Amino acid sequence: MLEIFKEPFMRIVLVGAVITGVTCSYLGVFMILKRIVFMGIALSQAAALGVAIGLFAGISPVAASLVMTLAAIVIFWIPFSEKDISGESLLGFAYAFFAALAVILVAKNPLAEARGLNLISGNLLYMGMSDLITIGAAAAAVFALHLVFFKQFIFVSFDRETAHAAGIKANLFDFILYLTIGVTISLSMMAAGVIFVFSSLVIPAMTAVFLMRSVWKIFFMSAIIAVVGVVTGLVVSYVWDLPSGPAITGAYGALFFLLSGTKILVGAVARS
Amino acid sequence: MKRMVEFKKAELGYGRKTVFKDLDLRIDKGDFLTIVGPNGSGKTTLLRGIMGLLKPSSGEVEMEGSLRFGYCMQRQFVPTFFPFTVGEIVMMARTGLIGPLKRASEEDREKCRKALEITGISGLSRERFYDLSGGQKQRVLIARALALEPDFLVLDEPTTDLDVRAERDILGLIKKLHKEAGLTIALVSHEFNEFVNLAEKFIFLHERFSNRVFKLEDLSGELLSEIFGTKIVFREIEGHKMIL
Repeated sequence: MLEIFKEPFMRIVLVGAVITGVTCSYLGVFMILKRIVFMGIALSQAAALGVAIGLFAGISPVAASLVMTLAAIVIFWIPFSEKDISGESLLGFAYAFFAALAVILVAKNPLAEARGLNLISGNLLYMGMSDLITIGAAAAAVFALHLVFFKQFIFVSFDRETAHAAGIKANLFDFILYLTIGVTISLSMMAAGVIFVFSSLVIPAMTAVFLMRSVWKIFFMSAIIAVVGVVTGLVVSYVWDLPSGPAITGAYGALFFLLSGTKILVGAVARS
Repeated sequence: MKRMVEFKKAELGYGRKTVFKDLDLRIDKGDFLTIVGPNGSGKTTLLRGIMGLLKPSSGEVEMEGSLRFGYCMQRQFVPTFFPFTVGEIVMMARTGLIGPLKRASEEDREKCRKALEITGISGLSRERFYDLSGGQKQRVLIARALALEPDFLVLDEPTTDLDVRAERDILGLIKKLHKEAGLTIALVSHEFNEFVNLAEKFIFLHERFSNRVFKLEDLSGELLSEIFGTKIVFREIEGHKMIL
């Protein structure tokens, strides 16, 4: 079945999807640690709205998506007083509003409608070399920043207030972390779609947190689950002619049930 | 006494809510300040003001040089679904000192070892935080604060939800850090009896008394009755003052 990757275009798709999956699954660990999972879906929708605006207005969809995502990051990053408006309700509002606006813009633009349908489910099989270069460059920049500031991101994500008191510029590192998440989402969105990007942010990291008892192993396992899920999903998508984003999400889900079920079973057997 | 932090007619609050108005408070090196008040009365707000995390909307907060604050946030708010080990959590305190791209030095590891030793949890370094008891978790948070080698230890409700033995142990540890190590301490609690024999200065979060700093000798049954809104007998029994 892996013979499908002998096709040149499938190699581009495979490499692009693996880079996106691994980057998202790595950042997803921080999102779970910071308890900002819903920010991921709201940012994905902001990126989708940016693409829709770009197609509607005849400007670069990638640039519009990036601007929309960065604007959303700034809004989510502002520490609103919970008495004015809770962060959770703001995310809920943003998700619904961005999604509705994107659907309206797509519906009113024939070109956007033709391409926009892929915004939700995505179709990785259309990924080209230019998409791959963009995604690869973004991933390299994200991992370079995380290599430099990994300790700071971990401390700020685990216990922001104490990090701030200890002299860490918590606001700045929060912003940089959100920025890396936002850039990854917006640049992956065009080629991969909301479902693939959001599920890559959440499911591999969630599965790894459930399985592993070491922080380093969580990051490692999350990336492995992303790679296995992407390859499996792409094969299934190609063989059965299914949309690639949902197929990969289905593979992530199957891996979660398989691995967590095995862990529970092994634990039960060990206890008995 | 050397001044560490001083509020001058400071106003502190969040958004539209003012928690402290015209607050005058001076904390000197070696002081032990306890802030007592019910839940939601603004105790943590004052702690954040002391550490400079919350800027006053008016007035001034003056700080002596660049102080290092070892902060122990409320234990209940520390995430416990990630498998951080005790050693990893304590080492977090050194993050700012280690700097980007570098690994912890032998000195950093030594400071963490010492902090674990002082708090009596050297043997727990490889244990996971989420597997520990409430008292052990509190010790880990205090160890993390100490690993920074702070000028000022700030504790937010360190004995809440602990059993009697763990509560006694934590109180003993805080007393040791103040008396033997000479650390300046500010803590908040809604349990007055726990800290009345440890602290030297008190702030009661009450509409009439929030802006006054009391010393132990200022406290009386009449005053505490007015503050707590109920008849209070304040006695000394076997050398310990307490509310009855």
